[in-house]
Amino acid sequence: MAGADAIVDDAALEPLVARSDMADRLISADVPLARLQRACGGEIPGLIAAPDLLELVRKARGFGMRLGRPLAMRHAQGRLEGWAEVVPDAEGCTIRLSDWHAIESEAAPTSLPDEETRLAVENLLAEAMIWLDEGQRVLACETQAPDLAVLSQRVIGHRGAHWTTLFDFGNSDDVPAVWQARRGAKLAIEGSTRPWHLLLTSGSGGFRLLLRPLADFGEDEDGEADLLPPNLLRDELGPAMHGPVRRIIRQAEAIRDRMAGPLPREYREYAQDIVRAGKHLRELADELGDAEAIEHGIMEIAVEPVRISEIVDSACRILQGRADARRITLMAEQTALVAMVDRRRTLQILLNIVGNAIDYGPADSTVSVTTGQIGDMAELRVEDEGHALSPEDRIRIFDKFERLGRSGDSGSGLGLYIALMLARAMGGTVEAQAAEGGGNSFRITLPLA
Amino acid sequence: MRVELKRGDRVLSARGVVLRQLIATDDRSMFSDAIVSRVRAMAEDLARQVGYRLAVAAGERDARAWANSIADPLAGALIDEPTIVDHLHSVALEWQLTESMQRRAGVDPSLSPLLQALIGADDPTSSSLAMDLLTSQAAFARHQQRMSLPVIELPAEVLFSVLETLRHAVAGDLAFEAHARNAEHAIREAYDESQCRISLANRLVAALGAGAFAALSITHAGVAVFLSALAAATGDNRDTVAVATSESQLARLALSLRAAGLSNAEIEREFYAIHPDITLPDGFGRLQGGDARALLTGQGVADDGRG
Repeated sequence: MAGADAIVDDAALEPLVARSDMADRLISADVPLARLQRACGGEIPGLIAAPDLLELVRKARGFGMRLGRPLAMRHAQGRLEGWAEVVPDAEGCTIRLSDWHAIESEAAPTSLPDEETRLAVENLLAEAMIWLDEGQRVLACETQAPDLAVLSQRVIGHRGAHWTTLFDFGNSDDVPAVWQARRGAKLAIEGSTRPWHLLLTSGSGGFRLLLRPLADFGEDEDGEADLLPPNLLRDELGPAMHGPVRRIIRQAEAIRDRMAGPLPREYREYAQDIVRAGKHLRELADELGDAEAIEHGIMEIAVEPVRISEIVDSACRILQGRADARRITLMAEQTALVAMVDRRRTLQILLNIVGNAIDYGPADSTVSVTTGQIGDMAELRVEDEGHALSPEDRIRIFDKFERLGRSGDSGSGLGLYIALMLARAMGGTVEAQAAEGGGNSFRITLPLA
Repeated sequence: MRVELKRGDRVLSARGVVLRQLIATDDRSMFSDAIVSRVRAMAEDLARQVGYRLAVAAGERDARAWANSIADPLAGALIDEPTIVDHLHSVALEWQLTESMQRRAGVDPSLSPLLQALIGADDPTSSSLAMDLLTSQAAFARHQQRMSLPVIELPAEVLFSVLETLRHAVAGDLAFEAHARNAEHAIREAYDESQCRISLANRLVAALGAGAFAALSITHAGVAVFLSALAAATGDNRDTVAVATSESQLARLALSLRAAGLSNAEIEREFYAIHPDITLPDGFGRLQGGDARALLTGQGVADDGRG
């Protein structure tokens, strides 16, 4: 990691090459381009994350022409610029960036020391280090730990192969191993009974894998609910999310304010939505521990008269992109009802339930939000056309950390639990029912004003 | 019939604007007969090239004669497209400036002092780029003397618009729709935007990096590179910058130069080179680069006021 205002990092005569497919996903890329893709929040393979490059690739494909233009791509830690040539063919595009310069700067100064501290600690605790080249291929391994002898042998056998072939990551997860490793991943190593923590870091001219045993820390990162320290959410997870979320908001604001140049109006609106959703997430990250606070009856809920339509509209707007991605139609009914609720908490309940309906319902279906009145309560119904839950699951789904056997990184299993707790704290409730004609119906009741 | 009516409508609606422009402005350069006829001629040339490819695709025996026969209506359709006509207008103005720079200041249309220096330089990248640009600029000059413009020299957006116009022109006739697709395919295959003269100039400016400042002198860099450099420095479209060199756009040119970071003396020098008989407005020297950029983009004055 370079200092906060380190400048030119790389420049070369050899052009950088990358490939994209027919859906404008980056399939392969040379290191600086791959780094840019990640710095912009993308993955490989994944939709091209740098907006300027994406626009150029889309244009080349749309026109069916070879394009050549100067290109400057910015991301949080600097920029990559040069002369871009995009050649479309039957399978996608070949991207070539010549006369390029990679400039590292503006590294978020506040987060840097944290990151450096973390790296220093990881280095200190590491019992094994594996060196990788620029393509993340295995070069060498150094370890004193006797239970890593098998791994050490394996490294010799796998020299030149991609490092992920060294380990068994399981296969339930959608997240590529490389991504887990960037953030730090837990894994088992052949020949060792201890659980290990693996971290992928970039060094000069290549990468390094740091391996440290987990047991020494007395930590178990995806343990059961009971094993979690009671204040984990509030004291650890919340603050840990603060940095990334702040960056999302800052970058989205940069897009919204067109800091890197002109942008079609629609993109500005998307950015506006990202900012809004990001801010919402930030507030929640700060207060995620409130789930427990509710349980202990020390939750602060600021109720005020709020138009239900307003909250439903906000939720639908925030989720519109997610719905579009799965070609799901969001239908929200207008209503004049005014409820006596905490605006943000209610939005959170809706975001969670409607979000679930979008994520777990079938593609090309409809999710509807209807509103009605029962006595002095407002009733919101979120209905999907998904697989109907069994009667037991309809109750179990509100349990803490319950994910109904789903794996992957798309949820904590806390959402519905929090939604239920929040609704109860406001004098309402949430329950799951079978919808008429199949699908699920989540019924939210809230006190009217 | 409908097409004819539509064009008639457009002429009528634009009549006021055009007349007012022609009568009111002192600037004879922007819409001079020479410019207008050059735009017209280039459009006809484009139409002939596209028509020729279409005739070849259709297997016409005398492709050239056939292309000539449809050149006129097709050229009309091309001129009806704002993307195309704007670009042709900019090209015509660029050439006009290139010619006048040669006449007044002896700047060679293809080989400028900057290019000469770059070709002789050690850096293989800029040297070969400069060489490519030299040949491409020479070809451009030769074509402009004949008032022609190869279709593969167009920026991608403009070429796309040309191909779209062709598609519309043959719509309805199934056989010719197929021929047009083949012709289009042939043109697309031959096209490589990064080999266009304008792209080469842009690329050269990008490759100069910080040295691109040297390209902001029109007598040193030549018109083509100067326009690319000014566009890169101001973030403006190159075509817009080309139009800014005409007499009615003095303010835009002065502001662009300021926004590009040139000093008073340098701006005066460039201004004198482009418009020898015009002096800068009073008080211009006090205008800061940031303000100039704000004025150009039509936004509020930047609060930091940096130069």
